[in-house]
Amino acid sequence: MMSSIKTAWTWIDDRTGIMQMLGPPLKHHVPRNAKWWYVFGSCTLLFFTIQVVTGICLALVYAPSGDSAYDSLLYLDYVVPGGWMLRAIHAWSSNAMVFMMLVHMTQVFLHGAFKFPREMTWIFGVALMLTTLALAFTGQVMRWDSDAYWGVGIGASMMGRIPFIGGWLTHLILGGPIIGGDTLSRFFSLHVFILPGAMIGLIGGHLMLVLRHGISEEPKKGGPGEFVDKATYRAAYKERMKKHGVPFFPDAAQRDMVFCGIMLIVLVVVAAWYGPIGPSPRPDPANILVNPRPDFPFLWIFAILALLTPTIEDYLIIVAAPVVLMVLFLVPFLAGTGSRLASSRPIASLSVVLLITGLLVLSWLGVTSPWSPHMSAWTSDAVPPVFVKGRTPLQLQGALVLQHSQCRNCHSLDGLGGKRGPELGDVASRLSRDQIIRQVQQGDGNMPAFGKNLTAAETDALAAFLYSCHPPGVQPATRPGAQIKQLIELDKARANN
Amino acid sequence: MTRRLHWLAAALLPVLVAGCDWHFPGKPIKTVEPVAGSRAEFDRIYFVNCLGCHGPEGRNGPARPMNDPLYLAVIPDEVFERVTTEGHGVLMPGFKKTPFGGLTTKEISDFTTGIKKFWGDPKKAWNDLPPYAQPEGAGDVALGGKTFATYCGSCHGPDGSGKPDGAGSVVDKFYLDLVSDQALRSTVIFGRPDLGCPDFRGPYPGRPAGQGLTPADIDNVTAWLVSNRVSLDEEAAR
Amino acid sequence: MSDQHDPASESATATPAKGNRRNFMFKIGAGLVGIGGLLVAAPILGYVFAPAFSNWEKRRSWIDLGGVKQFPVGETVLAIYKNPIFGPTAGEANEIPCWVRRKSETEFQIFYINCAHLGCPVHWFEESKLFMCPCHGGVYYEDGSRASGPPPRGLFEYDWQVVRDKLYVYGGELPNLQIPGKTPKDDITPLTIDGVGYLGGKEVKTS
Repeated sequence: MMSSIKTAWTWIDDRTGIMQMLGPPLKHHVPRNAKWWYVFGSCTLLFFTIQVVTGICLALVYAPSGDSAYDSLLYLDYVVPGGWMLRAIHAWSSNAMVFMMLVHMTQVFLHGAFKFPREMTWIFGVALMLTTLALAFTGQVMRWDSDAYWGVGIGASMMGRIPFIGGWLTHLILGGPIIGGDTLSRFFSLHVFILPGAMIGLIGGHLMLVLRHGISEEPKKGGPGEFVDKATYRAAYKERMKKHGVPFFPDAAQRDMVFCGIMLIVLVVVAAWYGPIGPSPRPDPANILVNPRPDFPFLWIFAILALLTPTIEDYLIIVAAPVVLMVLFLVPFLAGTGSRLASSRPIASLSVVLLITGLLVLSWLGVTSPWSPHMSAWTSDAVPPVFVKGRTPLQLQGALVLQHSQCRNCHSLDGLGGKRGPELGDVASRLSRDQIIRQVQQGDGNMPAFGKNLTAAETDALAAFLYSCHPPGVQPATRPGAQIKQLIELDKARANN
Repeated sequence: MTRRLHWLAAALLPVLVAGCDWHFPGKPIKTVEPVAGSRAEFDRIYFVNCLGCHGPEGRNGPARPMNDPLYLAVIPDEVFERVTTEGHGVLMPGFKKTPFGGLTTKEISDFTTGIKKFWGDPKKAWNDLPPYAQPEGAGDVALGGKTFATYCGSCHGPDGSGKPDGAGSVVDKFYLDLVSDQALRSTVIFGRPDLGCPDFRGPYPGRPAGQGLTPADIDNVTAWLVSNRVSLDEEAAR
Repeated sequence: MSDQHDPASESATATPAKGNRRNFMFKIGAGLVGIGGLLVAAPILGYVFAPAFSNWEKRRSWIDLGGVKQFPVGETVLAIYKNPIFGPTAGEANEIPCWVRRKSETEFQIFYINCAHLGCPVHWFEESKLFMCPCHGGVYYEDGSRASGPPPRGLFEYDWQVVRDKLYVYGGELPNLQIPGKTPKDDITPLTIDGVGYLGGKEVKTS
């Protein structure tokens, strides 16, 4: 039995030359110290493979048509056996792929693996990153729900900010002057044909380059490959691989397999536990009671766009984004030689720390989005009873004015309500009664003016209520600046102690 | 060993995918619309539309408590439905259906039935309830002022201008400008039980228990409160 | 290059006459492939890029929003119209909402639903007379002017006209900062009813 299988294999191998083709890449020597830091690239590739397979499976049912895409998602979720699980795996594997890619990129950057002679490998990597993000964005559009509809609108509006060609680009992306069925078809072509095709080509190039230049050693203080010198690096690397290298398969591949195996299990568990992502409400623009949010990889962009002032926003979208991309592409030319040790590259290490912190903070802000008004807060967020008890009839009317004028959509009382404006539960300790009235009537500091919409009685009642909002034991401010004197004295007392 | 683990993982995947009918926590469940007229639907409508002003559980909000059996026994269904639909006075918005929200006529009538069922006391035999609306032309201002001083004065001051340690002014020109005549009458009838202001049956502070306002007293006090209004436009003109 | 073993270059030096012919064939081949390629590429590129170059203005049109009586003076209400430029598969994405404000008996303002910041749907609040955007918190006043938040300008507005007691809106475009909604007067197509053209509520000559 075994021998006949062996005979058959020998025949196939002889006629196809398969081992002759696969042997050298599998057996190519890699550094002995390329250990657990080196598994993330393979894992990203694994998730991409999962995406291809589940994507093809989803396409068996999914209808890329504006009038039926949403219903085909519901059909997948509720009717098709295993449909929801495939949607879940596809969605979570997409998140996992973006995440692994970023981890891989960080590792490559910190280990200085992009330096001579591996510049092109890095450039292919950056192109792969862009393709991955493009796949993630177009994938979100495939859901064709309200998030997708307004997400495309946001993309088109960003394009529309580019001078001269903005309108032209918008129409090109939308496939017309407005979001419609042709828009979905365009994104579908991108998501399932163009981008995966580009992805496969780029991955091929990336892997060929990895084979051509070999895997870089993990830089160690005083170890081989700590410094990159164009004159000597190549020969020395070749020499070291010949002497100390180990074959990729199975010595290095076994770690990839262990890590990938664990990640696969984690993926399936997460997919089974959390289920598919979306769909949010139907893609009906007439249903405006929606809260459009992008998927996880784009939350940080969502946050940046909310936090920038209008004056610099255009420059960020039109100028800064391409500049940042150019810098990413040019990294190996800006620091192509020298030490690869992260501890000897303070600027590089610090920028990684800053970037990761920035991305995490911005993503978290994107999740909480404190800048968004809570559209139903005025009717569904209660005035906490502590602000009702013991109030005069006029103050109670003021609390009603506060609700009725939708102040709560942006302002919170005891943390309940919108977070765009300052908390009002202690407003009286900050503003005098006159300041409250001025702020309400004229607005300022990003608050609309309510002067035209409130009668004298409403304004007075509102001010009466707000002026009763101060923490127990803290006196309300009696005049502008009164509090400052108190604070200075408080500071002095503290300094003396 | 590691390779075997890898294969195991690979073999598990199709098994898990095939387990589509297994009830994993992630399996999407069709959301069940609350049944019209059910407690869940009533709670949902109240939570989304009313809670902000009328308070959690229908009490302790700045606006009149809805979770008040006396109030629900007195207010006629058609008035409740009309106010919910079209709003009332300056600060109660209407909740009629619009293309982007609001409640349908059916939802509003279900809600009216629901609030009386869930928060009212329909089985109780209410006796001697005053009419919800002020009868046409009823009420004596001078008598009303006296009744107010007797019953309400201990908290709001005999002239209604409030007491520093008691309740606030009810004759404040801005307060009177913001509330309707009916709102004033409702406060006289129903008080604010959640905030310590008694309804017309008492007991009023400093008055013997069991002594309350008669329907005529209610008409008079309402008329007196209304008589304290000043026209803000005329005042501004002066 | 020359020290490498290249059979092609070897034969070329051995028989120059043959080489010339090959060279000639190569040029012809390259030329033919080039011309053929261009011929094939032209319709492909044209097809893909057509939406960018089409004159969509010419395909926009006046849409009936209904009798003016539906719009009470002083109020702002949501109106929904069917987008005139659509493919067969647009589905519900064709139901385009807009905010109609009737300033007076004769004056209207029709706002695009899209926030001037990045296009999210703005929500009108009758009580505070404000439009609020759920995405990044843009806020606009009743007349569409910017009140606060990241929008760089006020709400985009539609062209409108009242003809025979009906309100018409010039629809069919997703506005952004480069395409701010209103159409240049020369590009606007008159509304034709019973062979009579209308613009700005007045009769105009139709070509």
